[in-house]
Amino acid sequence: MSWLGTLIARYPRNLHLATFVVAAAVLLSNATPVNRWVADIFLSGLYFPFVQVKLFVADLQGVAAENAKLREQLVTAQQRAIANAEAGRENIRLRSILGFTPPPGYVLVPARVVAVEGSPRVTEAMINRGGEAQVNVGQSVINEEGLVGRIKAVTARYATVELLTDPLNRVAARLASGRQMGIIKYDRESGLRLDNVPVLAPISIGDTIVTSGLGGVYPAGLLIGTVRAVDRPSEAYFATVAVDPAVSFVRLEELFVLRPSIE
Amino acid sequence: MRVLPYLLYLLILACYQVILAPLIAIGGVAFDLAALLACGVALYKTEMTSLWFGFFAGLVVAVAQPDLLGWHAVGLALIAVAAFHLRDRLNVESLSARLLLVTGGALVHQLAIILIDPSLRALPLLWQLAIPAAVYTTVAAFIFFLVKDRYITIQRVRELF
Repeated sequence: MSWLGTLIARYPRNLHLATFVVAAAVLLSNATPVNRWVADIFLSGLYFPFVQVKLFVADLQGVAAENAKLREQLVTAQQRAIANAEAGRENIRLRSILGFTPPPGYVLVPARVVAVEGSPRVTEAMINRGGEAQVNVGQSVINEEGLVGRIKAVTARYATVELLTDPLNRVAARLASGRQMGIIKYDRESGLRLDNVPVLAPISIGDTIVTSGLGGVYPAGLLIGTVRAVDRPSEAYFATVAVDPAVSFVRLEELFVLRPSIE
Repeated sequence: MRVLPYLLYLLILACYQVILAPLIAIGGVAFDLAALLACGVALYKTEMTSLWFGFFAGLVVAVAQPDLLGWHAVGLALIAVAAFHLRDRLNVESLSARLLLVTGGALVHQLAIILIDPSLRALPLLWQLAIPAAVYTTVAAFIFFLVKDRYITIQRVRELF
């Protein structure tokens, strides 16, 4: 074998060229599975780690895209859930209204509150019914809880409701049980109260107060609230009666205008 | 140990083929790293080193087409040897001469790719693929030679900022 070593030492270039020609001939002939083997070796040896990295990155990109899609779906689902909850609450309110009947001689004009005014306490509310729905100034406005106020101003499609919480509003009222009469008005400091009640009048905490119907503004029998406190000063003629309104004025939504029936 | 740098070059070439080329391609055209490396080896190494490196670089490039493996390997090996002889006989030393050599090498390699692969044999590919790739390779080679000749160094880049 020494002749081979001598040959390599003396003619390295020729040997390289000969090897190259043989390798090239084998690969070019395509007659043997050598091409496949070589491709497999290079694929598994050189390309494999980079292909894995590329697949990993592609997976990460897929995960990111999927994450963004899921976030979008989550937001949509949350909005739907909020809408469903709101619809549920509205459903409960409307169910409670279903059994509600107007006083004799009146029809209910349903309306929705579109805006409220007043600070810190709400004193006015705008509803989405007006002259086109035969809503007129002075008509009473109620909801399923009780008396809300009266129509103060009207346009074709909207009307402004003067709430019981407006200090300028006055309501002729009486006790539902004792028939004692008085005037309901709102005081900025002490809240809703029943005035003109004699000190000796039989009135106690928890008594129900309704409209008396006097004055012709409000129909009789509309619930206003309940007596919260009664103060009977010895030197005064009238008692001070604090009233809890039946209506929650901070969450007014569906209202009804009491419109006198045509017949 | 002398083979190790060339294995590293082949590894870089495989990485380029799989990951980098799609990222840095402009209008679907990436620079011809195989031709750049083959010409680079031819410019600085021996004839036989150029021959074998070109041969193996051709194998790496054509690994997805086993039937055309030999043609790619032989083509790139011949380009590398030709580059070596041009450098050896024309005494290619200046930056512009080296760039011209790389441009020629890349253009010939791109033409060879078009000719070797039957699915690519279309004349429009000459100006849609071959010439843009050769130009892009020249730009890459320009940066490579600037770094190699130490016109661009980390120190100088830092001084810029």
